[in-house]
Amino acid sequence: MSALDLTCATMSDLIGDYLDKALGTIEYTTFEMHLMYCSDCRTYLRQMRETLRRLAGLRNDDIDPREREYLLDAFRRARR
Amino acid sequence: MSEILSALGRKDELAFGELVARNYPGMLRLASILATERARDIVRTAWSDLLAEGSVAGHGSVRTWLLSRVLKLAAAPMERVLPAAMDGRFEAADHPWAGHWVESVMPWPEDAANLQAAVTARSLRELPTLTAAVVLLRDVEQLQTDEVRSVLDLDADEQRVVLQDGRAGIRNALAASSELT
Repeated sequence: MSALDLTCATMSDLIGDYLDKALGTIEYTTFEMHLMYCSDCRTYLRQMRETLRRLAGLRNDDIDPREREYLLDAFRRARR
Repeated sequence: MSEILSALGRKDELAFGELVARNYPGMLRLASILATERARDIVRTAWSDLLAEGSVAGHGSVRTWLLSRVLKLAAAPMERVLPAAMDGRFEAADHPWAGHWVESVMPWPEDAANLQAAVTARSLRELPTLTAAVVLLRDVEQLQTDEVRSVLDLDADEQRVVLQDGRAGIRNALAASSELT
């Protein structure tokens, strides 16, 4: 395997760094080249992006008002 | 950060309320992964510790301090596990197509969105504890990688490998569920 011929297994190793834009220029280029001819890796990349989108979607910033009040009480007591 | 702490020193309740709003939900999610039954109490204790200490000297930020404290209080076993999500998915070294997908990667149907939200949450909880914590902090709470490493005390390679395995595991769970729809 030459540097210009990544396997799909290597692609799956590099995908996180690719998504984080943490690949060097050569790795980035070979990654993109592989995507051009490998539809399985294109699908996998699309699904990994979708997975990250769904994980980010689990974030919910609601707070139980009773817990918020409990902590504000603790703050008042601590600063009295 | 120092603004926040001096606000605490000034007995600024509004500033403390904002600190709670920004940090409480993520702390509760982390505590729930580490010790579901005690999650609320762990988070309460972490906040009283912050109020008692009044400072997070030597730490990067109030946020990573609070998350580290949750981790410490939960005292969950954080065993290192070998990455396994991609086992058997690629042809072995002695195969003519070594390193290529054993089975084609099937696209997901477009209409599985609701089901997959539940699957995402469940498959995250079912990961090994350390893996779940890394994925939660990085991909749900959106911490930077160096913040994740500092909270969980991992080196860069460990964090990268564990994150990769966790993401792949959740993607596989979503793929499996999409085949059922």
